Amino acid sequence: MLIVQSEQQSIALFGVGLIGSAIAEALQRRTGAPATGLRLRWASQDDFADDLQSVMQALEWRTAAGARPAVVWSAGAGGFGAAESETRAELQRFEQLVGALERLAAVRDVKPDFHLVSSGGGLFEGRRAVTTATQPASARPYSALKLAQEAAITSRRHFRRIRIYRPSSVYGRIRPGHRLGLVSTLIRNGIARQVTHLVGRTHTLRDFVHADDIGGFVAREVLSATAPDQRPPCMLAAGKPSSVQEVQRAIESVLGYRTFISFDLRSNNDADTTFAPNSLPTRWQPRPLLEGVRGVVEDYKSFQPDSWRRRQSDLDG
Amino acid sequence: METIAVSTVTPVYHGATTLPALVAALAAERDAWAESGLPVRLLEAVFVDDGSSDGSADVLATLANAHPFIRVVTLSRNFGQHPATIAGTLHTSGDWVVTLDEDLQHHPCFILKLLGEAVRRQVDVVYAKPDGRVHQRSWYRDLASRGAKSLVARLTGNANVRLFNSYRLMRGAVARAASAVAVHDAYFDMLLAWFTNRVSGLDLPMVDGRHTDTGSSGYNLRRLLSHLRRLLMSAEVNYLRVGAALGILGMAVAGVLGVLTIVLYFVAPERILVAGWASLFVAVVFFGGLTALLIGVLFEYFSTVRQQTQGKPTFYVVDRSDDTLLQEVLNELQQTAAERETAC
Repeated sequence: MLIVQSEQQSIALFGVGLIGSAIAEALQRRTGAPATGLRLRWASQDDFADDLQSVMQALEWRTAAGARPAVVWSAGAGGFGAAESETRAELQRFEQLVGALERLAAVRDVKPDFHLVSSGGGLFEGRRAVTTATQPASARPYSALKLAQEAAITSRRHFRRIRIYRPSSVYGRIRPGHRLGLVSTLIRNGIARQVTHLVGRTHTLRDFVHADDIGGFVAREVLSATAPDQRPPCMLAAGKPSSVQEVQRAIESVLGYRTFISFDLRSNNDADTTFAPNSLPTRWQPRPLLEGVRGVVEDYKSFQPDSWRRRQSDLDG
Repeated sequence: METIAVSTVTPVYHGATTLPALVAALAAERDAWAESGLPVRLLEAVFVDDGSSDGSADVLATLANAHPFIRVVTLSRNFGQHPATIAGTLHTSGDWVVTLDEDLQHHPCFILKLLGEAVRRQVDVVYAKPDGRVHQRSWYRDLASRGAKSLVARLTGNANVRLFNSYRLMRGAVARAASAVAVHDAYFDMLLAWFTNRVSGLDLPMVDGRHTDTGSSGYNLRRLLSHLRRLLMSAEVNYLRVGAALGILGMAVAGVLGVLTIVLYFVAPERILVAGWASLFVAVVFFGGLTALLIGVLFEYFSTVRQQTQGKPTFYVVDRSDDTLLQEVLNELQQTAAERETAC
């Protein structure tokens, strides 16, 4: 996790994976503030409670100095295919955090902001032209977890502002340890000239958004000093469905050569999931797929794993 | 209930005056389908504002606020009807996609009829065929259009060219696949042919209202020629093979003439009036044929590379299993389609 300390705000960011690192980068770019890394011990409830105490102390200390506390939760160890045991553990950690924030609010008499990165792709799996009026469903443990997390924060009154973001299918820079997703996997394997084994079909539709677009949007929301309020969850989607074939075509046009996919048709993951553009928030400007793919390809080609690992270990303290 | 979702795509260029009527017609269809109890729903209507400067964008914004199923895609400048159709198609997620003109020349009340035809004939694309004159005040426009399509159909060997019309119903996956590989200046229907040859036509009443009312049409000779050029450029090079075949024929003729000349030289030399002329002629015909053949081979290579660059698939997998949902209610579907047709 990271704590970003600006003059006005003290922001605790839980989860620095694909989306979290994009949020962290956008926050640092916008504030120019230093970030402190802290390695959380997620496996044990007690260890996590100890680590959480350190985080809360840091937040409390900064809050005493006049900084407004904000928490961004973009963690998710298990991912889309997480087992129920994994999601149960993650929900426990989440509730530990919410409880700790409630205590902070009571002690310091200051209500923190809470920003939750939920999952549009998970909550609306197999649904087409999803709008804000579409009711989410929990088809998997992962989506049940996200719904439970949303409910856990919206039911509390100890937060000044609550923002819930529901990104669709996310892709972004390819980094060790980050979840890849379809687009990035195709790019990585395309560059390595390897065959991608895909669960789905050529015409399966998804709505792909770049992690950096989400990062920029969330960072802007975190830093905006608006009045206390609680808005309905917002969809962070492109509003334009793309088939696997379209993604493949975009990647091939950037790479300049053919890529190869083998399809596993025995899947339960080939239902179309698409989002209507009408329900997207204002000021949300997702980049076109081709532009995003080009960025990921260029970034991956120039990626230096060693220097990246050094930077990460510096952040981790 | 499991339903089949239909999306419509309408490229808009200076359609501010006609859009409200079209949206009203689409909304009426949407409600009628919902009331019919059929497993079909109008999921979305995508409007692509193709750089209009007549206030179409404002009209679309107002309509989208009033009707949640309206989606608006705004292009940065005027790109033309086919690019706008491709952009719109790539924004759909329906099982079937219907493309409509903005001026109600393609009335939405026929969509169910087109769908019924697709299910009945088990095809992937159904084109609307005008059952009368589209441009009622000038028969030569329709004739020119038909003539151009027939010419291209012959040149390209693709008989479906005769059916091409911008009022079409397409299987969603096929339409999006064709759109995904489209490059600049591509003719959308030619790309569809890369993915399916299950194509059908259905006679429907279509009248270019703008032309009937004002005498002017969006289509003139220049645009017709432009369409013809793009059709040929998007087609495979079948017609260039004619050149290669002529080359082979030329070489064969030169071979025969060469043998005759040699025979004549030995059997009846007195009949050769100008020495060297026959051998020169044979050589010109032979090398002319050889040149035509080599150019044909070159074009064949070029065509293969071009199609690969354009993304022509080696194969494409399609799933038609959802059609059974409509086949089971085909009679009701056709009955409702007839009622909708009567309603408009």
